[in-house]
Amino acid sequence: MQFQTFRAIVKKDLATWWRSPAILAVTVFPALILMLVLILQAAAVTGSPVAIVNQDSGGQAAATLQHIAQNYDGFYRAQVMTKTEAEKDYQKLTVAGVLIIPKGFSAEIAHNQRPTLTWQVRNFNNDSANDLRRALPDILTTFLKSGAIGKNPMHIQVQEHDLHAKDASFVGFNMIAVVVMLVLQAGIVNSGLAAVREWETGSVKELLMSPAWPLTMILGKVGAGVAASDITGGIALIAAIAAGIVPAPGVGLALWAFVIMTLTAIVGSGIGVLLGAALRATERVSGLSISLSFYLFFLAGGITDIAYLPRWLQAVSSYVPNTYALGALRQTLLYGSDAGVALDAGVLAVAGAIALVIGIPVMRRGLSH
Amino acid sequence: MGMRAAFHIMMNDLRLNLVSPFATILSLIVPVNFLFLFVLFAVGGAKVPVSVVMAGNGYNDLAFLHALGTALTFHIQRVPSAAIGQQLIQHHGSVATIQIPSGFSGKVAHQQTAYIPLTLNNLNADFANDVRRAIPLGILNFYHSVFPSVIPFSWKEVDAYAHNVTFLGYLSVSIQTVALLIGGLLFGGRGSAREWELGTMKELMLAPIRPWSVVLGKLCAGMVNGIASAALVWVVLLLLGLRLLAWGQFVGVTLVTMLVFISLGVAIGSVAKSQFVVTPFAFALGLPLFFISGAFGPISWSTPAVAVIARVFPVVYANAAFQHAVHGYWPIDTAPVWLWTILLAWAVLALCVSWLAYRRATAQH
Repeated sequence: MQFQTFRAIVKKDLATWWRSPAILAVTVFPALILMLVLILQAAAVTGSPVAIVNQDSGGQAAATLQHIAQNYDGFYRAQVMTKTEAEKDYQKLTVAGVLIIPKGFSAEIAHNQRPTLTWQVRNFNNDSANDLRRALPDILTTFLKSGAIGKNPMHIQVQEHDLHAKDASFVGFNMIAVVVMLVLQAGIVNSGLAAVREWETGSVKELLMSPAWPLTMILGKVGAGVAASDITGGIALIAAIAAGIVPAPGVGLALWAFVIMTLTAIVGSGIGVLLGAALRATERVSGLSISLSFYLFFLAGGITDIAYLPRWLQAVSSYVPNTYALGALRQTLLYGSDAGVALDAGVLAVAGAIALVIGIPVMRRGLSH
Repeated sequence: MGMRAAFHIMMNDLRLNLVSPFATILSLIVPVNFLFLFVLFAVGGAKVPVSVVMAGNGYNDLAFLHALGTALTFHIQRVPSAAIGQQLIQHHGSVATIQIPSGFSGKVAHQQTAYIPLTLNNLNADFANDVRRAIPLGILNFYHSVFPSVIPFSWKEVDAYAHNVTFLGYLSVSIQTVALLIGGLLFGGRGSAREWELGTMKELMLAPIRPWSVVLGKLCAGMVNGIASAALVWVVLLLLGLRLLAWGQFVGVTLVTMLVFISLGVAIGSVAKSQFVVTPFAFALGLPLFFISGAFGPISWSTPAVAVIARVFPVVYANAAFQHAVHGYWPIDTAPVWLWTILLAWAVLALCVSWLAYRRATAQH
């Protein structure tokens, strides 16, 4: 009897969600647009465009340096041009930096005369300027190692040991963050609006008069929110895998990813029921849920990682459920491992239980009034 | 008559803000929220936390540590062992451990190869490459300061501007633009959608007033709210240490940009007739435009597709004018005269769109 009621409420709320373009838009629009921006911006993330001016056209060392700079993977694009062209592009902001290899560079090196390279940097801000400032030493180190000017005079070598077999792509890394936000937001919005709808349409009276237990009704709303979240998050993830942005996981890891998404959705739905019962107005719930989702997104590291956050913010992020969802989904989907995922799932389960323990009584109290 | 009606519609809208304080406060603080969120982002992305394990304390060991510190990238914390460095990586305390091994000083002094073990949490290619590129900078800095004659060439950096603007300083100004965008759409859209939701639009249509006075009243109410919200954002920017170099330009761009987005908001509210739709629309339009419109650097350094899309919208021009008013440089390849022409053309276009949308919505009704 109660299971049938639960199923009926889930079915009805899902149907309402599916048939309402406005709710669908609130659920997926912000996150989908973020995804689009990530993809559009991906190519430019590697670095800025630069110009290379080689005034030592016949020199062997200069030619090697030019080749290394031209093929350097830290630039968005590196074009060889004349000094006049480079100056023009620099002034027009077509390029962010200009590397000038002076005339006689190769010969001066051969005669121990220490020629000077010039690196013009458009320092609008530290972030983009420091990328350029790091690039030149990297190019020069490769140049010294190349043997173009004899034995490498620097005797320090880096032995790199990476924790993950392969670097995840920048877009894939951020795509996971967006999926987590999408799942959480879908949970908050759908459960929140499903709760609010009963007050706004006046159907709360009918619910109260029905023989169904209040708990069943509330769990039905949570169930619908979880299902809507899993569907939207799942579609986004499958699209990302199909586009090659996120690698396809094995069956075991895919199952873990599903569990993590579902637990995240439960947290979101619990928060949604709480907001819906407390605010009782569609406009309030939609406005607050979007702001809340963005806050949780950034507090969990957003498009960076919590290791990069200051200590106080790391302390805050340890109380944000997204942090654990993000960690677990990146571990399973990007790094192909389930290390630590069970612990993250446990924390999410506790967060979900807390959200429900707080949300359900508030909704029950709302129903009884 | 029309102006008086517009004034009363504006006053009525402002009074309604007091009736629903929750929604009003939410709308007013959304732009500040944005600023706060992106400050979190900027604070997070500033430096790469790494731990350094030093086996020795010789001159070259310390010189190399200093060189790493000047590599523009690292936030260094010294740890006693590689195991503790590994623990820090696991607990998100750092993303890499750099070991300066025993005998490093002697080997470097005697031109023998010294190996520097680096344990890197390669979370993604972008983050990992920042570390991989910063270490050569550290090594080159080390040789440049300790063994300057060893490097057979030198290099000099010529910066375009005398002072370096911080990432946070640049980003905060960009956020001012997006705050005006989102705030404008919310204020304009909610104000006009509210009349449809409450059913009072019919009364306005039947009242003996000119239709333009309704649109003007809505726009003025949106502008008052928008100015309050922009002032709030500006106070936060002042607290972050930003100072204006060109007040007139800053105020001018603020008012024109606000007018554009409030007008568009009124148009969206008239078409959607629901405040519920206006909110996600404002976010869905605001966020991507923020990212592609030169928030982090000039759009000409971006991908061609992104630059073409960005140039269609006024955000990129407003952003460039704000950066100029605050930092004194012109981060766009559009001349000031053209920039102002585009912004003003957008204001006229947006006003026409809001007028047409209102007329169409009322005609259908």
